[in-house]
Amino acid sequence: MKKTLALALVIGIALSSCIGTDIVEELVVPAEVSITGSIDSLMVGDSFTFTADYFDTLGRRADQMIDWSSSDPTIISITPAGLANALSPGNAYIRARVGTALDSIRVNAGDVTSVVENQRSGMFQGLRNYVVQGDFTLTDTGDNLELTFASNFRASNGPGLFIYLSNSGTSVNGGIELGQIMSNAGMQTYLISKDDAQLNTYSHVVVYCRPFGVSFGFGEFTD
Amino acid sequence: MKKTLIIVLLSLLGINLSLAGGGWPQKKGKGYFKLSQYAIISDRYFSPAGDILDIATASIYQTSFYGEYGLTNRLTAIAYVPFFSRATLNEQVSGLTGDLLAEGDEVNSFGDTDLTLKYGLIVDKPIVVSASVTLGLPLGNSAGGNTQVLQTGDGEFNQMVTVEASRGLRKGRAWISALLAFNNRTDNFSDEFRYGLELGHRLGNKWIANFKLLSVNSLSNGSDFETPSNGIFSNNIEFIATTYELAYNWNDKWGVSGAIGTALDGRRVLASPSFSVGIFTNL
Repeated sequence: MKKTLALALVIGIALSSCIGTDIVEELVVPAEVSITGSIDSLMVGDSFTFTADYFDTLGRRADQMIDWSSSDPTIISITPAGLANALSPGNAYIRARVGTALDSIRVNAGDVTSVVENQRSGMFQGLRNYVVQGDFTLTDTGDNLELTFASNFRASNGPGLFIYLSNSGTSVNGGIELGQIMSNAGMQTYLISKDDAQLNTYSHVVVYCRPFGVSFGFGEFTD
Repeated sequence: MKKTLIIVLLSLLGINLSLAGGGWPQKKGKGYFKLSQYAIISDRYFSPAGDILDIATASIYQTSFYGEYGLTNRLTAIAYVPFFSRATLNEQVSGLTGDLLAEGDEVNSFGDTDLTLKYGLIVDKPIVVSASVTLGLPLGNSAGGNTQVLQTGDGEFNQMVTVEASRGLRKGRAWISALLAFNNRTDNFSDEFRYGLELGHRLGNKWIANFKLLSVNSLSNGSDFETPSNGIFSNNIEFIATTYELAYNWNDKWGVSGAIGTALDGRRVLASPSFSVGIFTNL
């Protein structure tokens, strides 16, 4: 009997493995440039410094020199550092480029300088029959960004759910983690340092099962 | 359609539903005892929609004791005790950059334990029928490891009622058993309806081959939002699984067995083959 028990235990121990390693083949995506914190009109005679983020082919935010240009430098000129000057009335496209990655924004040179809305919003949707629903807003408070889920927010229970800002609804590569989900239902707010993201840096909010690498659902900013 | 093999980690399903014994209770003073090792390693998972997702590789290993003992000719006490349960989660490394994306994790603990009383309603007839009550004791860890997502139990108390019927065939060299069960789950977990079928046959004097079919169906009367456990294995699990088992009897008292589990469909369960080996003895 003792020999049998010993044999069984040896088998058990032999089958009990150490922690292994998974090699993750990350999704390669086109590089992107995103103009952040912006204006839609600039008073003639005024200036404004544009900023932009660059995301590499792994979706990671990376430091790269941005090549700034204007579609009509006689209306709005722009320096290599992104400093725009409104010279005469009219419209011009401000462009930010890194290699083949390009983003642009239409700016009116006129009587006033107006900042683009300081808030973006969206609505969640679940994936694969997981429930993720409700509205959210991302607000620029000046010092930080605040991501707020409305009181109608609900998400399925799951293991290790975290909230991310990302440029994809199904992947968080290159995104930023805002922390573990505070609650599976109801209003909640996540603070984001402007060192990590600007209002327009990311296009999606993702509810993500981090330990198993599965997106439960996401919401895309509609503005 | 590509058939998918899956393993269902029974220990994480709340109650270990063994068909051993079927509708036959043990005779008074007789028993069946088994020491087993179970393993599943999976990087695939049946989502709530039933499609298969790639996930970080999760593995579970369980060393367990299973015993049946006849208290009377009609009443049998049954225990399933996974006294060592280990769950692991692989670390994640980028194939492009070699960067560590997520650390691995592990937990070792006692597992959820089932205690059953089976009563023979119809005995000594061509078709025998028994009824049993099983208590699933949440002795495992429902939120283990550094990530708090590894589980060796679901954290809730089950009460399951089962009716099993069996019939011997071919002068006792083969048998067929069927079961119906209702599993009442607590803490906002959905109740379950289960059915199963077992076909067994002796091969010569030493070998026994078994085929088992088990279907677990959620009544979806719980709440995904309110279950206390934070695990993907917890609530509204559904599957239809088959198990193929081969046992070899050394002599009248001792034998060994091996089994592989496969499944045809599932919801919220790992989607890979499972394996188990065991040593058993008859009292």
